[in-house]
Amino acid sequence: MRIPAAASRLARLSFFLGLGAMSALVAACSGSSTQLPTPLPTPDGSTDADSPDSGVPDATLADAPSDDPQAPDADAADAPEDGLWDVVYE
Amino acid sequence: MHIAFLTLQAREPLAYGLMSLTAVLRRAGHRVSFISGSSAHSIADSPDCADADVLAMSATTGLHRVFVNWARVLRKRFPRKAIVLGGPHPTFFPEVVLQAPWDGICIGEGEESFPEFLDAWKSGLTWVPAGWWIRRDGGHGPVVRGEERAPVRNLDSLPRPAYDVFYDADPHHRALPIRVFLATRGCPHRCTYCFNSELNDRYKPFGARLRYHDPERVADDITHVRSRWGGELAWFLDANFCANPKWLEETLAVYRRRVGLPFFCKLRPERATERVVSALANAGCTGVGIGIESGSELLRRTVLGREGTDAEILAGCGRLVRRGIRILAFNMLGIPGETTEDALRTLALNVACKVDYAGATILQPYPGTRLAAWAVKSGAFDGNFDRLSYSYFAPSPLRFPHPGDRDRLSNLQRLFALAVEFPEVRGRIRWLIDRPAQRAYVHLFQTRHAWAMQHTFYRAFRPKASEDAGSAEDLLRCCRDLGLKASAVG
Repeated sequence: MRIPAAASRLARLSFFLGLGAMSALVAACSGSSTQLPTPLPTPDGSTDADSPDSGVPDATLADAPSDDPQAPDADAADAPEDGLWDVVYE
Repeated sequence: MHIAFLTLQAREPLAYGLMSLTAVLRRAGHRVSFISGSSAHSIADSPDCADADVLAMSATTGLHRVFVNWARVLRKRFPRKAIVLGGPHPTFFPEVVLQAPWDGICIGEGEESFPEFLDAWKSGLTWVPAGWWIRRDGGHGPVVRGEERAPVRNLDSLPRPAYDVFYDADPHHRALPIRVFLATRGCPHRCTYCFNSELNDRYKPFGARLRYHDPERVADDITHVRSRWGGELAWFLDANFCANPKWLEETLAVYRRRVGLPFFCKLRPERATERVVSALANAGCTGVGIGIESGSELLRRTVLGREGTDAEILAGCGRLVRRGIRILAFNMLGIPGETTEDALRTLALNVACKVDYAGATILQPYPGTRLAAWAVKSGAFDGNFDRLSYSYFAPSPLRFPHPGDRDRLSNLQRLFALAVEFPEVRGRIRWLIDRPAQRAYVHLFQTRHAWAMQHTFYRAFRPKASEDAGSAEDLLRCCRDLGLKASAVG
């Protein structure tokens, strides 16, 4: 009894490892990012408040001369990438 | 008026709040459309956007950054349209009103206040509805705060949510075997990381904080949705479906008689009494979501505000397992004060509870929660909510004492479910996580997570085979297998 249970479990583990590998391969081939969305970390990985890279909207930006319509989408960089849990209810 | 809800393409699951708002606005004679896009410019180019009088967005924390940017772009394109924001983020962080030229932000439930805002808008914003903060002059004026607003007292006074906006419009939602419902609002517990705790305080002067649909209304909505769009499993989104055993039993009796579908709901493990579990099982419950959150009783009690003991959690899960009800466990890693030993004990508790899928998230100090206030006060978090990701799977924004702690945490989050499920992974878990954040683990996590939801829970059409309950001895054994220190084992 023990051997089939262990074999079944290992087969299941192999299946999920294979699925993960396939997902990585598809991501690599399609050139999409494999990173989970992050809270805009600084280049060194810290999350210090006053980092110039923190992406913090300026509280006074309501009047900021931003967003040239011809420029690449200013918002695109902030848009979270698609993930597998797009339609996941928890 | 024409109200356009703007959504980020394919990002949100079926948004119950927007469906409910849509129904209310339609009842008031307004036209509602949905525009989904990946950028403000693509949204702005939509004919519906040009035609709309009001551009409305609903943001959770993290997603708000996208909508702040969209609002700035849209304001330049459409200086005369109303641009408004609602949802959890402005409810708990109304300062977002200063971050873009919003005409108004909706704080709390909008079903009663949004139509009032539209009346105010038509009058040139000469008055401010309760539950709204506004800025005149195209969103550039000073902030004017409306009064606090009571939540919707009688949920049955609301029209049936406009399910068509998702099920007719989106084949992906329609193709899923589940149909989602919300039968209650609120939760009586005081978890420090959850917004319900703050809402309880806020709504206290207005009376009942827990609100329920009438059981017949719950059945009405489900039978309506089924008759129009099918569906094989009812998925209750309620934060705590089983908070009131009396209402639960009444509702499940009606559900059993009129609906009879298998269903999923959430409850607290220590409240999974024999009475509650029997009522659930007899009515066709095939899966539940429970918050285990941490394997450390001390952290659960002192940091998270959860009182249940390990023994109570084990006993509750045991009752579910014996009735063949699948368990989706929610866990949090990165709790302030948590050590690696604590996190591994969380893993062990999930093993002992025999959960079917052990989901692990990374604690995010969301605005409005007592935990966030404490984290800011203690210096663990800088208080900048614009740094939070929209995803609770993202790396922790908290400060850690040792370099590498954040990476170890992320690695463990991604391997957590596999480690609970497979002793082969569990036995090597320290070696697997003690390294820089691994991109390969992201794929392992994503695929296992998606598989669990899509195949284990969305298709839980029948109870699974009954199992023996896990025990304290199982927990002890697993702790020892993980090499936990004696102090963490007991």
